[in-house]
Amino acid sequence: MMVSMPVDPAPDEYPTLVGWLRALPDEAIIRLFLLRPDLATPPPPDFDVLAARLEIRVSVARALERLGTFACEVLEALTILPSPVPLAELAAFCGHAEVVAGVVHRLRELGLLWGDDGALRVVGMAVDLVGSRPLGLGRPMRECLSAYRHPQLARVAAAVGPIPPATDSVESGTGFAARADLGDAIAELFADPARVRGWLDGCSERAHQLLRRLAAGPALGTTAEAGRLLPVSAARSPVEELLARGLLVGIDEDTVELPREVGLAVRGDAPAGQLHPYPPEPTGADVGAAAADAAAALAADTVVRWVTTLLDAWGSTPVTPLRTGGLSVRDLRATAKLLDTDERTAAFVVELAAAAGLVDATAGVDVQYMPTAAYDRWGTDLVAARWAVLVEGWLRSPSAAWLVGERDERGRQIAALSLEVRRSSAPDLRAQVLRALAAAPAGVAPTGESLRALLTWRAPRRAGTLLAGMIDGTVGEAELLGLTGRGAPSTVGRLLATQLDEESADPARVVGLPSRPAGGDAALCGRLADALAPLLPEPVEELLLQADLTAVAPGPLLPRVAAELARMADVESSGAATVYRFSEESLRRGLDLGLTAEDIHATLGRLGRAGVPQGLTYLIDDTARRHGRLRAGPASSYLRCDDTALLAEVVASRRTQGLGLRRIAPTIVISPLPTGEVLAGLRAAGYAPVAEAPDGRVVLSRPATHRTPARPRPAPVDVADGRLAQARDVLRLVRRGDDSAQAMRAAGGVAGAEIGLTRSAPLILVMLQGAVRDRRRVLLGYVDQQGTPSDRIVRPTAVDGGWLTAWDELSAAPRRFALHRVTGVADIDEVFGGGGAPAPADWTASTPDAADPP
Amino acid sequence: MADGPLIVQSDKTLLLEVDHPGAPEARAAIAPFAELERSPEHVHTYRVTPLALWNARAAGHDAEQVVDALVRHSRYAVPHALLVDVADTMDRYGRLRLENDPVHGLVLRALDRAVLVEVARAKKVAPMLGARIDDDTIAVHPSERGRLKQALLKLGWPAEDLAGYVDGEKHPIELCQDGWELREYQKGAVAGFWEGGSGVVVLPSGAGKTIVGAAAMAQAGATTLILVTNTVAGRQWRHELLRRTSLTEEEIGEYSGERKEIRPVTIATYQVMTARRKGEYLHLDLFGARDWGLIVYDEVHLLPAPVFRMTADIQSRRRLGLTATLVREDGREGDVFSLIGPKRYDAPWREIEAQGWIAPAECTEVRVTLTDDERMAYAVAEPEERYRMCATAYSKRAVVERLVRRHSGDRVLVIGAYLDQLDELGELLGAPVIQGSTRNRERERLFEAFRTGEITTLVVSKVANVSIDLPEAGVAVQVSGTFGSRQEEAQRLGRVLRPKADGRAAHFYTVVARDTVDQEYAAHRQRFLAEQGYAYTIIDADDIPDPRDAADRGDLADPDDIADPDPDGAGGWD
Repeated sequence: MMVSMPVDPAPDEYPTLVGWLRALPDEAIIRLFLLRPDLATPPPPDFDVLAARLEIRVSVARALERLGTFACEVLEALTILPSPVPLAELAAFCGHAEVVAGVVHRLRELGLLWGDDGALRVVGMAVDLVGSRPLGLGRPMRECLSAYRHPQLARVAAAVGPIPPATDSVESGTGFAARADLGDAIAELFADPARVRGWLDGCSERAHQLLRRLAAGPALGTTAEAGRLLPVSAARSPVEELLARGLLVGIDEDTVELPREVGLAVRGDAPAGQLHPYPPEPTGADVGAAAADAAAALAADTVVRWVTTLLDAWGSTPVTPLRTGGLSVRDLRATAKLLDTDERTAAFVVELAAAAGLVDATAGVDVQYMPTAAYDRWGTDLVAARWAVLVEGWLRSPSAAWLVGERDERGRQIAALSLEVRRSSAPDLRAQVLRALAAAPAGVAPTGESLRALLTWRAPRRAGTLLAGMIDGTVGEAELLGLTGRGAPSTVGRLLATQLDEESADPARVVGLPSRPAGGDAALCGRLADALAPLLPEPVEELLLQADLTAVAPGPLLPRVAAELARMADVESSGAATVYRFSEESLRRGLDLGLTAEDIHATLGRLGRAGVPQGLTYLIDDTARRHGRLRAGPASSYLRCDDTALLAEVVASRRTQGLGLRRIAPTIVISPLPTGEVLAGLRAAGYAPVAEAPDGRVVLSRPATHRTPARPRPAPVDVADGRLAQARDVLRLVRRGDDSAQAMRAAGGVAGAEIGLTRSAPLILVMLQGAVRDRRRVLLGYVDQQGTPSDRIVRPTAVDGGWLTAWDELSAAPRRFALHRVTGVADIDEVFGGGGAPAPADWTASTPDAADPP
Repeated sequence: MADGPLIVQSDKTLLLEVDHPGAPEARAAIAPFAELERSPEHVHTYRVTPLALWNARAAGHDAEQVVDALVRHSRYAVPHALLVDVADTMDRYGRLRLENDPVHGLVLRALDRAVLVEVARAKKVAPMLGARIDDDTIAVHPSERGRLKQALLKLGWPAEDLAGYVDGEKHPIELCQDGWELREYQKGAVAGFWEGGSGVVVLPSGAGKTIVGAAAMAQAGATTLILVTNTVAGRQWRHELLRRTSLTEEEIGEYSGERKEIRPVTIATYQVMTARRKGEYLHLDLFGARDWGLIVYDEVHLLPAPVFRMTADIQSRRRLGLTATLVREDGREGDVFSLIGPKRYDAPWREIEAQGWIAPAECTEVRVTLTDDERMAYAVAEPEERYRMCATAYSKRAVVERLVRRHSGDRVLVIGAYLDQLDELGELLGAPVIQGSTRNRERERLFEAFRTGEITTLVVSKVANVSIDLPEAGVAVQVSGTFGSRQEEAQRLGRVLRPKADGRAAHFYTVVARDTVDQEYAAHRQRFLAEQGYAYTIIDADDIPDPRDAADRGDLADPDDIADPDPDGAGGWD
């Protein structure tokens, strides 16, 4: 009924978009540019251009994508109402006046509608993009009727009552104009809401049910009866009845549409239908805030342990990426095995470590994945701080780890750490999902549908294949990171979401979240770590040492203590607690790292809550006793001597000090210098040493004289042979060509055009060169550029660069022939057996065909 | 939650801090569904395996109880994934049931149709199934009952066997509880077994497994086939049954390499059951020789593979497995589960020891320093000879002698693996040697003499590893073994764990040559016992007090201890 109201003649200050833009304050324009950066690039030269850009389809579509459900609905309502429309009227149409004004403000700052509150207008392109059936209403009657031909229109006209004489007076006929006029006339009748309501009252109850259903939207219905436009009296079903009454229009064989006027009349007092001004309530299981936080803390601890395990492994054995970049399936599988988890989680951990900058590919030729220097710093932090770095890196990461293992458009598996995992929209979508997750009350784990409903409400026009995966992927990753616990947002998860909410409210951030600073966002990390720390179990600094050579840390160990223990024992089981096993190998590792038995005893004595069992003490001492009993070291030469006194003298002598002699046993001295230098030095010092070969035989020494083995040199005869062989080959070719030519002659004789052309490529060249030298004419088989073969008689003048230059007898002009197109050559003088060159005229006359141009 | 005694690890191990006040309650709560893996002094490790969960399920526990036990006693948050996994795993048991249908006989019935479809499509299972009776039921030939259960377990869908058992030939057997009575845990074990129908009772050596067997036979009141590891063990069963039950000599038959008697109660050895000629098992018909009402498997963890195959054919008979441990070195725990049955009763060693039913034991590793010559000989020995070289080192002789003298008041077993060494030691100690070639009659005579105190020291080879009932042996000295076998170590310790009349502690010495593979193997062998809470003390051979000094100090055990092997109340007859 609003529709029919005459437009309020309110002062229309800005009848044009340009005018309105021009009058906008600077801040509003700046905000518009921030919200829609594409309007500002390149900078529009004037407001006319800016106004034009506001009408560009792509730009408007992009702006619409960011609208929430209610904003879309208000925009749709605006396309129904006559333009311009005052805000009050819009609010009355939509209901929910309390939120409409805010939405209108939003639409206006996005440049989707313009004008002040007294006269709102929608940007033309937005009207187009909203479509012809806004808010579930059908098209206006006039448009619906365009599906009907004249007889059908006539039947509707008959049903809806007398057509006003104004239309009747026009000469009625069967022409197009008459049809359109009839349609207009019917539509005119429908423009009066009271009349439409009157028609509705005459409908049967079943027809009313159908009307209500279609009026609730969508206004289209599929039925086999769409084409059955009968007189009212003959109508049986509700569809037939409504069609007959003209309240429903069959727009094709099996579709009916409820015209907008009828829909509005049916809706009555709520013409906008069911709108969604408020977000859907999150639903889901209530797991309890405490349980969520406990699970989150466990997850946070686990994910830190995973990253540590992974990078420790990659630190000792770096991994080589695929040639195309990324982690091979085999390495991913190995990672999953290492972490004792599935491949999906393993891929997530790998991507997480990379996002946090803890692992990277080396630069250079032999690229390998290995921990970065940042990892060492990270490893010394407390769990909460380490976790915060991971979360902060993940939040801004363009990687969508859940894509790993999926197939790309070419059907290849997407590898972890490859470029295919990156999606530029990933951080934005991830933030949306996180915010939606955190919208649930504390302790409630929103269901998948509830989450999707909220996301859809927030951005109904956003679509894309990435989104669906991103929702599930992010929900899973948030759980692994402890941002949710058992599906419910944890304390830390809500903290992060608050930060994201703040960021998204900033107009400058609307288009994209801030990217991650190179060094990470220390402030955010600090806040996250502080929030997580109270949830984590108190770190312990004690061990239960047991006689079966295991040690149990009954809680998370301080990183420093854990590092200390890792040097001397192997982890057997990890989780909230850690079980270590001492073995000879593990202790030997510690000793190799420079620990002493005393160090180990002291550490265990300090940490062991209930003393050190005897078996372990023995194991440590036994291992330490055996450790280092064998010694190995480098030496370049040795001195041995059964006379220990002599050796002592040699080592003590001042003149041998330069030889770096070291006595490692009573009868053995070693030196880092090669044997020759040691010998020379000893001799210079007045001793008489003898050299030994590696197998112990004595090596006699003689004054050094220098010789070199001569390098092999090619004998001159070889060159000659080579050339000879080449020549022989050529000769053989010549012979063979010659023979076959003769054979052809013998077999076929020579008749007319059947001239035996030499077809062998090397011979062709030889013959042409010969002809050049002897200034002879030849018959040339040639294929021109069109592929047409022809024979012509030429007198070659030069052969070079793949081209033959010759005097063409036929055209009596010089011509160039491409050698690769020459299919054969025949020596004319020889063919015709003439000793001397026959007169050209004779020749031409004798073989006119052969010389004919193609 | 903040202060429980239990820590649940992500690898499904449970760490129980035993000194915690809540530990006993937590242990009781988790014992049904977690296998005790190690029980050293401070922290016991349990593992939640699918088999353990199914065992619990078979015993009537549900996932909710398990989850509750974990969450309630855990100190830290329990990984949710683990809880979900526990519930999922437990849920798999019993989705399929083997039942006796009054019309169709043995059938596989599904509570979950999808599972039935899944297993019926499995290559291994399909041939064992018969006609499809309806959507949820498939006929099964009775002969496939065992193999089907094995195959289903492998697929992860263990079937609950509700098909019942044949009663077998009636044969009244009564327990004669004169001067002794069943202990509480023995009653519990029998009740647990009988309710479940078939299954395994886990009791430590010396806790009276034979009595549980006898009580089960009395409960069944039917002809019984008993499978034991060897002839001597069989004779001991016979001896025990005669003493503890109303059975008479004529009712008990021995089916061994020497005799082939089939009587209402027949005791057969694994060896004879697995004897083959031309690839055919000779004594398979024993299982069908009578209409057995009960089959008892002694030492289930040693059950040889062929017996499993035979057992698969007799699934309609009640089966009782007895063992000290479900851990099999060959990893066939799943076959025990599906063919003998789920675990029906379990009591940890230490608990029974604390109740005083088995002797406390003091384990000592005596390290002998080899002489330089011996070290040199060891150093240049071929790799395959090295263990023998150090295990049989001459230096050990003096140490063994000293140890034996130190315990001259007690009954001492010297156990070794190398016959030359044993002969030498026998000569040195003036003690008889029992080895594989010793005739059964002679063995029994010597054991009897040992029991009565006529002989105080016996030198035995590994024939005595299992099932030799020498209740008064209080000291075992191990000089060499089968390389690093953990089971052997446990069995040998078991020899001295029988409760002593005067409650004195048992001593278990293992003499080890220092800095050799002997020491490495010893460490490996001890691991199992250390995990059971038997901490070894390491001493140097030189630190053993000289027996003559000890004699001067009057440190010898009172000779009265030796005289009377009072069997009264001693249930530890294996």
